[in-house]
Amino acid sequence: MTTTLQRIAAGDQHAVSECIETYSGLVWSLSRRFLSNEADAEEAVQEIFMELWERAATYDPAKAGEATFVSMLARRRLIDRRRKLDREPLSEPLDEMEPALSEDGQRVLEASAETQRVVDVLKTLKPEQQEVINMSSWLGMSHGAIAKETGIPLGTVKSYMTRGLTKIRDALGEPARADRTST
Amino acid sequence: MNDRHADIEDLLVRRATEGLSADEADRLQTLLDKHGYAGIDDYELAAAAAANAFALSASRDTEDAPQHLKDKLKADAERYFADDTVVDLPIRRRGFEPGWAVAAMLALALLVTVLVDPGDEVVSPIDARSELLAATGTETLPWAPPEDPRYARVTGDVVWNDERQEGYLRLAGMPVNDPAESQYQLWVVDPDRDSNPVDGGVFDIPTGTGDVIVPIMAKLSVDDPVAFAITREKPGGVVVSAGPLLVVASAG
Repeated sequence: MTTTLQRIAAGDQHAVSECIETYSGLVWSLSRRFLSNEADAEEAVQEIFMELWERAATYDPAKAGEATFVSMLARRRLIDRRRKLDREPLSEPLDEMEPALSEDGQRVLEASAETQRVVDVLKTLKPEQQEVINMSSWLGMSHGAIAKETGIPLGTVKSYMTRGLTKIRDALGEPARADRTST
Repeated sequence: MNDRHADIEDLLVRRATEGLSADEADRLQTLLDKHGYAGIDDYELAAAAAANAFALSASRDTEDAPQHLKDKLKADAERYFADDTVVDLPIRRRGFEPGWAVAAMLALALLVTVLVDPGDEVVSPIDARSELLAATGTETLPWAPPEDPRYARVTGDVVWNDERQEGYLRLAGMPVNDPAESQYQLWVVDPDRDSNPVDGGVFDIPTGTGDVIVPIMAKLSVDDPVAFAITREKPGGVVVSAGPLLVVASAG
């Protein structure tokens, strides 16, 4: 099955609007969490989508689901941007921040066996390890900020991060390939 | 796992979660070049997949990206897929005064030729800049490496001709601005004329632009400019800037 990004790379203009409808909420949501300023977040979303158009042809369904690829490009640019701005992101608890997934975006993630598999992996981690991964991957906090916020020693934060991401990386491995072309 | 492999993994995890300094990025590249590593994007993909899993669990009360942002994304995409890699930005003035007549006429001429009149000969700022470059007395001043890291990737130059009182900025890598919040403003430094820089006009950098050519619209005649500088100001620009100077090109 051809993915949205592959259709964009092939010149399908309808896929461009579809991609914006599907992923703008996810990218917006990440940007709002990584960057404390709304104007910065909007600017970042625009840059991320421009990069997405430029890199659509490099997406490889054998390596990861499409939503994962989109989030990877988004996080990469947001981390880069935040380092330049030298600002920590918002650190409010997740429930106090506005969620921002479109129905299409939510449907894509719900239908993704890859995302479900990662949810299952996260459930196997200790609660504090889940929290560390959450604060880093989703809220965009630095290791030092996580240590300060949670009281967990910095070395333990790093250790939790490495072990957790290694487990997730392994879950994204060979057995997952079958569903990746469908997300 | 040997030490080098562990060092690489440590740097890859850090890159995926909080980014690397320039030194660390260089070190990672050196290690990768020397020792190799399969799957250098794997930790970034893992962090992204984790982010998606948390996004899903956080989406109980679904709310979409703002409509105006989606509209911007669609407009950006239209521009991008229209295959315009070079964008000419007609400069906008804050108003018209008698002393600006020549500059204003030039601005209007550019607006008309670039945006309105497809039937006549089109002289875009790109062509006008090329023509000016070939003219006698034209100087080219490259932008100095900006100190502000947000502008570190800005490259390009200023071409200026005293006799013709005409010039153009060429900018690549300039961060996008939201005109509702701020605009870039050009200043021309000419100590022989005035201790204060001359207002060179305000302009915007929309998302998706590559190289940008901006006509210089000096408010007053400048005889011997020694530098050109760009500041970021409130919409419409200011009469006197408090800085900072974000990007500067100077003679000598």
